Amino acid sequence: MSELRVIVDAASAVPVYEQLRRQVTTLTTTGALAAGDRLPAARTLAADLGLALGTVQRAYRELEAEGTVVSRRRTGTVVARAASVEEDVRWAAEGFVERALSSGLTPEQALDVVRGALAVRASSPPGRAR
Amino acid sequence: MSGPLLLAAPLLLLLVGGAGVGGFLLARRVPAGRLPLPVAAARRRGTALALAALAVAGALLLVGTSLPQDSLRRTQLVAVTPLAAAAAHAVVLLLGELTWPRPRQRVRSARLAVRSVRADAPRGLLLACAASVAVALLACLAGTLLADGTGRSITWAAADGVVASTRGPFPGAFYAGPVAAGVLVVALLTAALLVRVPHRPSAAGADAATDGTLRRAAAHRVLRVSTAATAGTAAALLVLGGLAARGLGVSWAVGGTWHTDGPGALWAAAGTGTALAGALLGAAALAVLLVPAGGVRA
Repeated sequence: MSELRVIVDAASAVPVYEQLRRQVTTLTTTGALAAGDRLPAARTLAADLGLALGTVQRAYRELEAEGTVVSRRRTGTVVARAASVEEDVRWAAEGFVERALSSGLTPEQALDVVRGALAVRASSPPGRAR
Repeated sequence: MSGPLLLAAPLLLLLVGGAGVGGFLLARRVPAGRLPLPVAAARRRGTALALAALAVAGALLLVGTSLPQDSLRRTQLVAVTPLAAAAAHAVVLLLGELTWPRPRQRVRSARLAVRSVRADAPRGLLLACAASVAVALLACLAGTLLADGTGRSITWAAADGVVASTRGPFPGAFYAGPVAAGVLVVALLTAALLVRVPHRPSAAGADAATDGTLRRAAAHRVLRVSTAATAGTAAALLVLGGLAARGLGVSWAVGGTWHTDGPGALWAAAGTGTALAGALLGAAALAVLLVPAGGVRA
């Protein structure tokens, strides 16, 4: 938990609060953050990232609204739900990332490949999914 | 002659001990060249702040204690001078923490780590500081309750009211009021700094252990001086109060025979015990100043 990091790009077109929200969601989905894990206080994270307090508070509010975290008076912001990603899915993802990056794709291009596959999956009739 | 010697001996011991501890720490200090640049800069900033705070506190202590004692107000001032110096020390450190550089680069990262006062402050010093504040406030309260109407001395009168004995200086309301206010100010400033330390930005490039060490050192610096000033002031109150209480009593001669009367042996023993406890607390206050903070490892 203590070595998990979030990275924000202040010049990105994606708002910083959204970058934070996505990364925390990803960490919970992949199981890096487990249910009950505490997130740093919004003030602490804002200081470390050089952001306005409201930016981090907005990310936490969005995470709370989608049910990823809960805010408690005594313990602060806590991860609410554990990931249910199976181990073989995680391995497949890691294998895909390694293969995509070694073939020369950028991380964003690798994500585009996954999005494309998901789009094909979504547009296929249910019976032909496999 | 013995008064200045009594004052100079502990200060001399403190200087010698301080020089020894300082030399030892300098010898063990990891050279800045072996640390990442931001970590070395953060350590340099912390050291510069600590020296500035000590210089301000030392100057205030020197000025406050060297004023001629030609009025009662001046004696009041001397009583609160160590606390004023500790408060000034805490203010300088607090300003340094509040102006800690914020990350400015385009891409920034942060650990998802929970930080707290409890994790970033040395536990032993934290307890010692809380205990010294409690002892100082209790000494102020006890002094205020036991002192006579002047607030500067203690009086015992025989049951028949014929003989009475007064001793001072005693930490009654005259001294205890400003001292208690000073203790509370130091405690509040120390608490403000301890709360600020976990919430200030991390030094860029510092791993979790180094970042924790830098924060603990910042908390250690303020706790060390605040504890020493509060415990030292409490020690002075206990010694003065104990000696004054111990000295209560009267002696008179009738027809060549000496008679004595006073509050009793138990009272005198309590006074002696209080003065001794104060002396021990004073020695501990000086020793606290020599406790070094943990250093950054390469």
